Formats: sequence, structure tokens, C-alpha cells
Amino acid sequence: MRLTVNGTTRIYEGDPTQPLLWYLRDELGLTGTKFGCGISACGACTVHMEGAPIQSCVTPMAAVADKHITTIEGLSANGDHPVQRAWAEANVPQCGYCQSGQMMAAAALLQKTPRPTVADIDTAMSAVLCRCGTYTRIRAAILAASAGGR
Amino acid sequence: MTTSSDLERREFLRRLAVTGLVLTVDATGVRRLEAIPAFLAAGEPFQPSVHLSIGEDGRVTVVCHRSEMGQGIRTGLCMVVADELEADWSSVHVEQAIGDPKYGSQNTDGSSSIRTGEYARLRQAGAAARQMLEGAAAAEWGVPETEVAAKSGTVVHAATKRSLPFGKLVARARTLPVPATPRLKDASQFRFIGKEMAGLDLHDILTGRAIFGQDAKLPGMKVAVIVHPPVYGSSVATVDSAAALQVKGVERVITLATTPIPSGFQPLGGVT
Repeated sequence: MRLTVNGTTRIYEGDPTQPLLWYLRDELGLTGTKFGCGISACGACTVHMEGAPIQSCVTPMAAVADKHITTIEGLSANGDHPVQRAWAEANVPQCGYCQSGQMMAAAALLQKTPRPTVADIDTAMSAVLCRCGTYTRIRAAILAASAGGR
Repeated sequence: MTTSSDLERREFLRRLAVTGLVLTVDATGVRRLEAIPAFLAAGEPFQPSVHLSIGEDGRVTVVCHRSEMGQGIRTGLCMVVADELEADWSSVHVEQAIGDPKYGSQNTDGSSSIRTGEYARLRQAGAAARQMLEGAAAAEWGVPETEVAAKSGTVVHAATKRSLPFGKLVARARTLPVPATPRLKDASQFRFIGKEMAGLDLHDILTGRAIFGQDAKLPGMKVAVIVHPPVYGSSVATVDSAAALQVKGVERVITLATTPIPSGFQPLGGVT
């Protein structure tokens, strides 16, 4: 099967049931995407498939055949995606472990809903947990990215 | 002793590092110097204590001897040292310590990293280094030490408007004794302590480059997965590993000792 990861076409001939997360981390070395729970409960492993957020820990390789996958490493060339800029401005991360998933979820939200309401943000972002508790800064950063993108 | 091949290697790495630097400068202006191997800048470092070193390029490396868990200690410890040092914040880099008794306690809990002793100790470490750099500059200029003062990565002689960056003072500062009771700043002079600073790891986190425990790879490393009993505090009666051993790549199934309750501050059973 073929798939595209961060703009590069890849051939995959391994186990079709392997979760995408481990292909990204172990085979491509893209360790920016994190393992948190393995059961689609925490969102640390969120990446984009055709621009929509998916949880890579429960997405088998068979489901990404011929798809375009984007990880945090491919969100922007220089860390200057509007979400990354807003995250820097608001000094969002603490330990940072969940933040790749947070930013991927936020970028997908803004792609689909360029001017989200606070309720939109809370609904979209509830899939990604942060044990440090950076939620209020995440919300502020998304609102800033939303306003700044106009 | 430095051999010619060492020099060639260094020069090669230096060029490589410069190339890496150019590639990683980003549009937000966030500085990206981590690509340079630490030993290059630290070829002849000025290292007045285990807590910091200053390279001849002026790069300040602060050692974080406590664990980062989202509390910001990697940045916090640097702020304390850099403030007393009068460092230029953009030249400050953090290096994670290994476990070593030379750092004293490395236990990280209960806000103790700053609160119980380390705040004072790190202020002294920064101040001692600053005082030695000031001493080096005074000697360089042949003026009394009381007439010079460090300011944001340089030492200044106001009377003659002369200044030297820290990097140029490293060689001489290295030869001076480390003051036992360095002069500390008055709190009103703090530039970083008590201020909100962007985390030193911010850019790496935002680009997925930050390395966490799970991202570390060692030669020959194997991966273990723990299956817990379904009830907290229960112990394993029997284990049937037949199905697990059929999975491709599985080498062994090991049964761990039960963790005594309460488990919060105990090592995991069988895992050390």
C-alpha cells in the first residue's frame, strides 16, 4: 500500500493491523506524535488524515492506504503555523507531552471552522487531555489564532 | 592534547553546526542553537561549579539537575543562575543532568527544587561566575574590580566606556579562584527571577522535537508492555503467556512482584 506522510509518498508492506502511531514513531522516527493511552481516550496521538483529526493509536495501517497523513513535524516548515505561533505567544505548554495532539486538533478545528466559538473550541478540544492543565491557555491561543488568521 | 584530526573533526562539525543553525532559524525569531553539539562550544569551558559553564563563544549552559514534569524547572533553574550571572537570556541553554551525587539531592517533588536550598545555592553559583568574569575584565583593563560590572552578557567599565563579552573573558576567568561567598544581587535588580519567561523548551515542544523518556532510543533496546491485574492492590495468581508468546516479535513474558500499597511512592513492582 501507499500513503503520504507530511508530503512524502511512502510504501508500506507491513502488518495492516499495526496502528499508524507506531509506524510514524518507530518506522519513520516521527516521535513528535505521542503515545498516551492506546485506547483513543487521551488524544496525545492526534494526527491529520486528509486534514481531519484522527487518533493514530487506534487507526490501523489498512485504514490509511492512499491517504494523506500530517503530523506535528509536517504542520509547518518552520514552526510558524498560526496555531504554533499562537501557542508560542500564549506560552501554552508546560511539560509539552500532549501539545502535539493539542495543536493538531486545534489546526484541524480552525481549518474546518475558521472562527470557532468558545463552545466549538471546547467541543473539538475535549478529545485531547492535558494533565498539566493548560486548557485555558489552549482556548485563548485558539481564539488568538482564529482572530489573527483573518 | 589536540591532534590535527581532532581539529579537522571539530572544524567539520563546526561547519556542520553552522549549516544546521541556518536551516533551523525560524520565522518567529525563536533562537535555534541546539543543533550545535555541546562539546564544541564547551571546548574550553569556564566551569566554576557543577551548575553552569560558559563557552568562549559566550554560550551559557546551565545544568538542570531536577526532573521536568511540566512545572517548568528546566527554565526556572536557568532563570536563577542567569539572573545572578547577568547573562544575556538569548545565550542561555539548558542541559539535563544525569543522576550524580555531585549535584546533591535530585529528588523532585513538593516544590523543593527551588524552595529548599537550591534557590540560594544556584544564586551563589551564578554570582560566583559573574564575580570571576568581572575580576577577569578588571585584570584585563588594569582597573579595580569595583569599577566594573557585568551587564547582560558583557562586563562594562563605565568610566572608560569599555566592555567585553563574557566569551572573551572565559580564558582569564578560568584561572581565578571561585569566591566562597560571592556578592549577591539585591532583589530589586532581578531581571528574570519573578518574571514570566517563555520556556526554554518552547520551540522544541511546538515543533515536535522535544525528546521525552518514551522517545529515547538506546542500542539494543527492547520494548516491554505491562499488563496490570484488573483490581488495584490485587496480586497475580497465574499467568498464561501462551497466546502472548505467539505474537510475532515477543521474546519473553515476565511476571512482576506485586507493588505494596500505597503504591504512589513505591517503585513499581519488579521495575527499578
